[in-house]
Amino acid sequence: MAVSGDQTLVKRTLDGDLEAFGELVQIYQTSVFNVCYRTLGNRRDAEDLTQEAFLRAYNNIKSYDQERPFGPWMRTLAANLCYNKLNRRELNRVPLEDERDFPQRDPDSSPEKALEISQENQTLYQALWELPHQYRMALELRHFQDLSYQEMAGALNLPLNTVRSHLYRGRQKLAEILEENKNG
Amino acid sequence: MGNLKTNPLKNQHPEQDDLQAYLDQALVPGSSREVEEHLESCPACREKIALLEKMFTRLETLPEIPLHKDFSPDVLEIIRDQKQISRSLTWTLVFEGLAVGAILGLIIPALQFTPWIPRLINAQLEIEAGLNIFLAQLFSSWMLWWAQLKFSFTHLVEPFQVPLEIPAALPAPWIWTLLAVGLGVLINGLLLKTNFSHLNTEQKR
Repeated sequence: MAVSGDQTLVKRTLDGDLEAFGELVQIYQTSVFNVCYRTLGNRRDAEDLTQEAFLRAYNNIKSYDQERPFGPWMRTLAANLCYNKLNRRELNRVPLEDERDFPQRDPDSSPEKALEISQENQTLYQALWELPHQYRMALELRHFQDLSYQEMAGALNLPLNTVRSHLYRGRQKLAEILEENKNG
Repeated sequence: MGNLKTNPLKNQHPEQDDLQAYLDQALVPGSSREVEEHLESCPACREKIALLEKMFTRLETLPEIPLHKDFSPDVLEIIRDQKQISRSLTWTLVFEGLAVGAILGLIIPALQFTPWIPRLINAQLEIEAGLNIFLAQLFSSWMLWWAQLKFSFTHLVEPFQVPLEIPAALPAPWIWTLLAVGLGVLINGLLLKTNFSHLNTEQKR
């Protein structure tokens, strides 16, 4: 969906067309769900927060700057929602062994290769979820949402140096965990 | 944009977080150039950068988890319910405002037409006094009992005549006041019931 298409849908939503907002939900639900999933670490909480994020977006859509693309705004809103929930310890993380749908990078690869890739992805997800949530959030906003340090500080309402420190420590810790898993 | 904590031009290796900031393009242009120049002559830092880039690539190419459901019907239904609740609450407030206005508008003029209120209070006092006398007779001598009981009944019956007169003396505004209060309470109850049923629906979901 082109950005201009998003703006049309946002405009129609602001004019009271609820179905237009439904289309925005359909376009962005997978990416928003993935933000929540990477941040929270389990599917059920991620689905709940995805729904809550869209409801919050609808209630705050007047504050959305129509000059900017809708997707990053929506995903940052979802990330911020997850961050606040984690800060308030409102979520109970559950073990993740049951997750069976870790994605594969190349669906055309051989079964052995596919399994290897799937395991690599699973290892990376598990390593991300082992990080303290502040570090995980910094990595999410920087690497998956492509925000600058300044934008991250604004989104998380933290000083710039704190954001930089979280990002640095998060990457260090992630490298350590991956190295441990590799050796272990 | 940040400055470097070390000086690569003096053969000091940039710190790890400076290297990360360099890759994030978060250094001021001058510092960024200094790191680039250092990297050209330092294999150790180039290796660190390569490892970081590998990790960044691994993170940024991590495929998305598939989503097995469509959220839009649920989201739209909740938004519709929220709007309905919001409208119901608005109407509740409007009706309650009108009810309060009607009550105040009727009570104030009605108070000017209530000469029977003091009489009602007097009647209550007389009933109590009469009952006290009546109870006292039960413990008095039987010789006086009949005469005194008759006296008590005289005092008891009289007050009852006052309330019986009230309907005839009831001024019209009181009827409207009572009706307005009753209607207000009824409407309020109905609206609240509607709101609660909506909230219950949402909670069940």
